[in-house]
Amino acid sequence: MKKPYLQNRETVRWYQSWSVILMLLALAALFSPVRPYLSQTVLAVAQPFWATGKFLGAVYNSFSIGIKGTKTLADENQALRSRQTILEEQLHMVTLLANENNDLKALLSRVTDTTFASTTSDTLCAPGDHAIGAIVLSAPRESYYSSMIIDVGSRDMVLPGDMVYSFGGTVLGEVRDVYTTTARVILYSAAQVSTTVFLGPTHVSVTVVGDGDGTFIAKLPRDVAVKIGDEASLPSVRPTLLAFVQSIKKDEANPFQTIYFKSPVNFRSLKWVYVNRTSRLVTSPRCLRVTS
Amino acid sequence: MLARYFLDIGVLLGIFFAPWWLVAGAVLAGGFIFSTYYEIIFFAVIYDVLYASTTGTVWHTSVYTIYSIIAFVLIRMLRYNFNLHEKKITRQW
Repeated sequence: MKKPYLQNRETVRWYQSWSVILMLLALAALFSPVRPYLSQTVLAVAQPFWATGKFLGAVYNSFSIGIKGTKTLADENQALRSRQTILEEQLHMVTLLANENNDLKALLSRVTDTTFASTTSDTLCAPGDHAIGAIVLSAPRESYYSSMIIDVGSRDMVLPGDMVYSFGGTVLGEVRDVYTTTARVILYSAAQVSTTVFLGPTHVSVTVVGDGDGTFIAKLPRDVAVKIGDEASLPSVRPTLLAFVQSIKKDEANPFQTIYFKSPVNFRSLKWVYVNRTSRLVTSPRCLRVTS
Repeated sequence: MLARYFLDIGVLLGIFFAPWWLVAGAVLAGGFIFSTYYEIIFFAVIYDVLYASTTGTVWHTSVYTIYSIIAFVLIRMLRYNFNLHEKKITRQW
């Protein structure tokens, strides 16, 4: 007669020993020098899946839109939507630049290297000689860590610490790990990531904390004047938009106000970004076809 | 056994395409449904090496694996205490 579940001691011991070995192996893989190689291998396996997924997504989009009209119309529509997103982001950048311009005029002339990405009906080109366009292989929404995998790596002279922007000029995060053909980007909006920013036209220095999905939270004394729509930018010679104030929560009993920020970038539909390879001699900027 | 294979393939694809909470839900369900679902730890390691940074604290690099080991042990304890799926698993042995 068979013994009931987990009363056969030998079998239990056998299962438990394998369980412990598996756990130890898992931890050893993560906390040993093997991990980067393991990452590279898993990324190499994942890339064809992501490429197939993107291809199937594009086929589905073409098919679903094609039912309503021609393929040309579908491509044009897709390109226009991409451009619209970028232009909306650039609108926030323009406000930021105008404020900076006023400040500089009041003091003295100062040259900045602010440039925007160039767009045509079907291409996106990263701005400047140091930037390189990249396709987002894995969007942050799939990841618990708010990370993003992009299709440029050490082969394209990308290094850890390089900053990653949307094509509208909004800063998204920075490259953390670089592999041959891919890189992992950790977003500034990842949970518990702290970033110091200048807030509004008065450039109040504030530490914002990432809250996931392109949102940030900051606490400020109630007396500090903040209004909805104020831009939060990274402190730098070149003004770099991170997010804008979406809502403010004030309580009479609390001496602090809670500011909620939102990035103008829609992380759920992010397809292209560019990496700013700071101060390195690099090749000409790379353009991406937005209709492919 | 076929259902287990299907779930494994689904979870593997989910790691690449689905939101993290959906993958977490699927592997936890697999832990309760199937006998000694080792795949919980295997998938967690894949998830961590794919998405987590290699630098930083444990909570930035390996949180999925840590949680999966805890979940694996807890699920086994629950199955032991409540004799979940007793007949089905006895037959497998």
